Amino acid sequence: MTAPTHRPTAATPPGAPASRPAGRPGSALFADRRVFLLALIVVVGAVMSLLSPYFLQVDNLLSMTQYGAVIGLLALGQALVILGGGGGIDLSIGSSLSLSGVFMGLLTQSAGLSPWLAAVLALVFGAFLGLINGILVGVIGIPPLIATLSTLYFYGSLANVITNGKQFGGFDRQGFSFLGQGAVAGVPVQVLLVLIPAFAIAAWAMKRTRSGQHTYEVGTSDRAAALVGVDVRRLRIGLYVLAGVLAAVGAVVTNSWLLTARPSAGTGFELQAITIAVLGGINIFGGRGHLSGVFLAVVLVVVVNTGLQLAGVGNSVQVGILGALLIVSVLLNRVIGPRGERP
Amino acid sequence: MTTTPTITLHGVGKSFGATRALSDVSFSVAAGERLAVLGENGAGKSTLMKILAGVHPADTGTVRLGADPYTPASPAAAMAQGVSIVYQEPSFFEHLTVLENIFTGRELVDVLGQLAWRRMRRQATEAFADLKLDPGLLDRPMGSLSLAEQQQVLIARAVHDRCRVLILDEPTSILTANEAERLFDVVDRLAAAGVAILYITHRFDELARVADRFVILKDGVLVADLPTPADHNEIIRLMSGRQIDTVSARENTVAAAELLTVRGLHRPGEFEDIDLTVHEGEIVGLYGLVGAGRTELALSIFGDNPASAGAMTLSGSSYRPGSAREAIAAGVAYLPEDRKTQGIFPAMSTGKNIAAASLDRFAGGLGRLDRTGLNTMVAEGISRLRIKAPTPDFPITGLSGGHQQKTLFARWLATDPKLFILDEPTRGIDVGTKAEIHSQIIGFADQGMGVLIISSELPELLAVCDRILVMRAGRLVADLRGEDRNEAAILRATLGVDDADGKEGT
Repeated sequence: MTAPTHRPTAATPPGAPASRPAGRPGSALFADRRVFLLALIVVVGAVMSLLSPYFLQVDNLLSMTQYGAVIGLLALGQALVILGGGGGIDLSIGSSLSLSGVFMGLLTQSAGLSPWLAAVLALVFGAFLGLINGILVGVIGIPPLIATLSTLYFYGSLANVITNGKQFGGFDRQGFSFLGQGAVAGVPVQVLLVLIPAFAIAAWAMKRTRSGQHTYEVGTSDRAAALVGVDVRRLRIGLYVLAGVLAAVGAVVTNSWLLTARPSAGTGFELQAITIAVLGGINIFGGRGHLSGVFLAVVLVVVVNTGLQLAGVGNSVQVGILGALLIVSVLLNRVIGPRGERP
Repeated sequence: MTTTPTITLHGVGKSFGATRALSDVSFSVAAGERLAVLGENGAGKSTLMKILAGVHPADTGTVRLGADPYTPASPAAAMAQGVSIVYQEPSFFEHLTVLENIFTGRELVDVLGQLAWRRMRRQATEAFADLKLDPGLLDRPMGSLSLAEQQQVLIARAVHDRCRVLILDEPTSILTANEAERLFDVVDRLAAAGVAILYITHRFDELARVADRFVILKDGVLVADLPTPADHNEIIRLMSGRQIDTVSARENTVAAAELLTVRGLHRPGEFEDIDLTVHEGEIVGLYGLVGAGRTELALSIFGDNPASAGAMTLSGSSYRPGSAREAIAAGVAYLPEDRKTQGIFPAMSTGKNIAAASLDRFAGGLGRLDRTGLNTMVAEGISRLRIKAPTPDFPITGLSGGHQQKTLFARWLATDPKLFILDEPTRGIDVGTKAEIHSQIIGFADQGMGVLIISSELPELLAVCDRILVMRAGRLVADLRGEDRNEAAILRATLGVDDADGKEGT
């Protein structure tokens, strides 16, 4: 969405603040994407529970969130890269997930490493994949869309070459499956101990730390950011590294959950991640939006997809509905709230 | 030539908000006549040209083209009536060919609506032949041409049909002497063919060569309309002589310690061999024409545009910043020229805009920000500069331009700088806020801060500066203080006019 800017009129007398940004009375609350998403979640949830009585049962709600953990991690990484501005986008995160997962499988199955140790190494590997993206974009200066499109194919192809059409295992040792299959107090581990902490830490960092503030600054105006002393290039490279690490975390969770590493594990996730980030209110041009909104968008997408599945709606229709949801939410948000999202 | 002038202005005036850009300007140009338009930065030359080119309508007065009223609604309408302009910084499509560029927006088509390339090529070739340009250029991408060639193409585009008035905006500022001579030939040929030429220039040395007559604008008023050649000292006298409010002018006679010294600073194509010193508590102005290299020099001192040679010291120790961050840490602040694109973070609150340059000071472990400290600092900034933001969370884009600028002042004051570089600190700001900013600047110096101000407004520099440096074509050409710090001397240095005999500088 585009935030309308509020230009002071030329007639503004010196010293007087320009009139407050215009807005219809009572619209300010709904203008916040997060309130809007929350309302949408409630409405969609209610509709779904009417369509399928099974929807609101506890075990279904929990299995729903299992699916959401992996895509949520990717959406988080995507949101960070987009927030950093400069046309930032990471099309390769699906392939990064696949390749990191395969790399981890190589370590556990062929090298016989402990899956826990392999998981840690996979995170380092994910950071390396992100670093390559960061260097292509930040140092060499290739437009992010092109750079990460090429690594999407490159990483994906490498994952296929390494597995040679097969899949890796060797994860079901030392209690590793706990991460992807276990539950604490009925809540899946990958949600409680991975997704929620990841979002919480990232949201805290964006709001309360210097790097978070720098990200918003760079995303809003990279020239102004450079002139207040921000190393724009290093910051953006860092965001790609983070996206790579988060994709690798997604790979670790996937391996623990499914106990196999497949070269196609992350295929198509990159576009879903972008969709969720934008649905969550992240401005595609950077600098605007909240990670809490992205979290709510993850919840919404999970609720919609699960509900549709229960209602017997096929996957191909689900994807179409996701697209419709995105455009409707952006349009409604624009109609309801003239005020822009502000960090 | 006919007895009716080609273009006649009568009492033309134009205001932008409260700023009066032009008042009661009257003159005329006959067919085949070459008129130069002189005036310092902000004298109203650009506004005048834009009115003629159909960019802005005039508020008052009339313009006639021949005997007919001339009120173009758009640049396209102006061009259709035969008035064309070639801007100082030309705009074109660099990836398209010269031929395509010549016909953009007025492509010739055949009966089926297909582009009639053959006809366009024939016309363009004829136009090129008239101006003695190489027709081989037609198929080259515009971006591959030299600046001089691009300009000639744009002139060809401007005059290509039914052109009666051609306006050239400082055409030689980017050209070498040889290229300029070629341009003068082109201008002569057009004048000989009956085109009325309006030629904006800052260069006295080319005045006699390129114009039959000249007018001088000062503060939007036409103060002279004379034939060439003219005595250069007389022109300077006419351009200056403004009533300056000298009451607020500072004379800092106390010998203070050196704060910044710059020796032999050099950056190819931007500035060369710059020596300057700013003392503690001193306000130094940096004047020059647009493009003289002032901003490039300032950015270099601020670490954003590192020089290739030369040395600097700050408070006596060696100072060679490789980035803005290092300069800020060393105690240097820079208020950028363009508030909108280089200064503010538009989507953010006033408070966050103020805090932006001081985050390092408030960052603890993991980069966690000390919010209490930040909030206190922001509140101080808002009250010190009297920024009219109801709360620190108020979006900066909700403030007027003057208060946005004050927010940027607060941002830099929060870093507690030793040296504050201000690039056009009051551009586009209302009069009241402007005076307030001027008194703030004097207050900074009174507290011992060194201030370096770049401004295109001479009255501003004369009002607040202890000393004024003048840059011309990448070099520092004058350091004026005391008695010498006057408008005529500054203009003379800016324009390169020799003091002694009033003839052009060597």
